[in-house]
Amino acid sequence: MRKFLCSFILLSFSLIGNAQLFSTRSASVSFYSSTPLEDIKAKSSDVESKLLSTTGQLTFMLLVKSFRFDNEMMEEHFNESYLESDKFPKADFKGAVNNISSVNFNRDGVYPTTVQGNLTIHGITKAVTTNGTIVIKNGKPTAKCTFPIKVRDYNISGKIIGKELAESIAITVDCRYE
Amino acid sequence: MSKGFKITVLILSLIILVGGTIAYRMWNKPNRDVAKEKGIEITAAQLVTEFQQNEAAANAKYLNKPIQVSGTVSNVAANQEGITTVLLSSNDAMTGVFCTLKENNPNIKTGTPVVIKGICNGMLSDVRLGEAIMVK
Repeated sequence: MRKFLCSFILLSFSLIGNAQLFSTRSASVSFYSSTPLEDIKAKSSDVESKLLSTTGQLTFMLLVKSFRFDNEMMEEHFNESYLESDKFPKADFKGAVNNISSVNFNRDGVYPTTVQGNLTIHGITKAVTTNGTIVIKNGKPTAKCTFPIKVRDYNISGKIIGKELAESIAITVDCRYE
Repeated sequence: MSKGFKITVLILSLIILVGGTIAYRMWNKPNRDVAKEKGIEITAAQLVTEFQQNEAAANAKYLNKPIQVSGTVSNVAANQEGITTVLLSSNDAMTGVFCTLKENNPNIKTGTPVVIKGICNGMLSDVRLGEAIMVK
């Protein structure tokens, strides 16, 4: 009985040991819009993310005001007219890596992933699915994926959409977990 | 050419020149420099408390404004781009003021009192200041 208990305790510990919650307070999110008239890109590092190794649960949250543009006027327009960041200061994603069981967190390598969940921008939540990768290096994962989104799906409107700002833009998430 | 026509052409070209210059300067507006702005002075603990008590009110008060925050360094790290980040402690061990510096600074030590000025981007787990510079 004692042997059984011992092995049971050991087993529970090893199971707990396997369920790892990875997190970071300084991930990176960038977006890229390209039209014949203009290429617009901006990046933010005010991004927090969590990844649970067992279920593949993945979340990230960012502050819209933290996006920095090369062009200050574009930054003002982005915040005031398009994203209305005073009203909607945060954007977030709650979802999961669907094929997390194919990722071996103990072996360095590049694992292709499918990410699915709900993306909230400008107060509007939409279901999204995309492909990405999880890279394991020295036992630490980095999750990367790009969401192609249609600006109008998120109730973002303005004169320059379809001209200087593309109707579909790419949001790239890069989370190096601790 | 009549005198009236000449004057009209002159005025029109002036308008185009001035308008063009204004548009050009607006478009090439230089990026914000927090060093030149006067910051709202507050302690890290007070700033965190205000965000915890009423995030919407704190956002209305501080979002996108230059904040000069004083506090004790509880962690120094680099973000994914290799930029120095400084966490200032608050009265709550779970949170603080997370500052992303404009320029790397290798001389900041954990446990020391500092004054940092940056632009408030809002709150995640921590209150976040961007484009930050060391004042003291």
